[in-house]
Amino acid sequence: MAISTTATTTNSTQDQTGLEAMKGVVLQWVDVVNSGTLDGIGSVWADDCVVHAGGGLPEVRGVESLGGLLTAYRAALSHLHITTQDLVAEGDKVAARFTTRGRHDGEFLDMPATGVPIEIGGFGLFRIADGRIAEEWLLDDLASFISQVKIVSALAQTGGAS
Amino acid sequence: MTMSPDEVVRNFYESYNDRNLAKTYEQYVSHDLVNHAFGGAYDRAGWQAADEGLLAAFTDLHVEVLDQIVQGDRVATRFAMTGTQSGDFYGVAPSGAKATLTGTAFDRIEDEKIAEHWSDSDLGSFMQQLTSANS
Repeated sequence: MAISTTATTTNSTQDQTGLEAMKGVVLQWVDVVNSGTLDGIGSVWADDCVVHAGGGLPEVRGVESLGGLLTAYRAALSHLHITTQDLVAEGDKVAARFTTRGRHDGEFLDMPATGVPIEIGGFGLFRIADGRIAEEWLLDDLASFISQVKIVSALAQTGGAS
Repeated sequence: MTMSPDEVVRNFYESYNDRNLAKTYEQYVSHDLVNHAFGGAYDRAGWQAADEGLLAAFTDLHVEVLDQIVQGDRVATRFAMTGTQSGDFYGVAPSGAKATLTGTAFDRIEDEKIAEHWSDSDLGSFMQQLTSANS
């Protein structure tokens, strides 16, 4: 089989260097999230990027809106930190499995701040174009967030486990 | 003939459309499965039982693989399950609503079977589609 130049190239024939470079772009984005700033967001994401956020949230279009979303997330979950658990890459896409941690210090999903430390799993599927992220399908385990907050709130109301 | 890891995972999801999960799990899910989904709440039998409940509540359920990203023995899959609610589902009375559940899974394949599974589904939006039809 000839080496294809299209994005449908199979895993075995695809240039490993290219795949690692694509993963590197996703890791740069994780660094931006963990930095507590928006520095570098424009070099990681395409200007006209699209994020399908799931959870019934509206699509995010454009890097400015994405920056706004990140800022809102940080207001709701302070000390926002992502740990990448696994990355796989093929064609023009990278799939990431990660853990998000933060403290519930602002209203999130209609739930007022509780100060509860949160740890939720999530998945991001990224489409890379011209060395930047053009599109992401994001799915966080929001049900797990809600149950963590509810459990701690219930414990607090009953005087805790003591 | 051997199946590649992405074929195993695609066949696993698409075989839900045959509505015979006993066969599906026997063919595609290792008995040594480690299931990390939902914080590890469901072992192999629990996972099958939960999805039997989904099939029972949505008798026309159709599962579609939307996207797959494969590297080595690991497969990331984005899927959609669409159906009309004709039975009880997690406390929601039959709504007659047509609803779609989207999800993402990571699977590690060993000997042509799913040996390790991570998954997240957009259950919040799914339940919303059902309850809004009942209100």
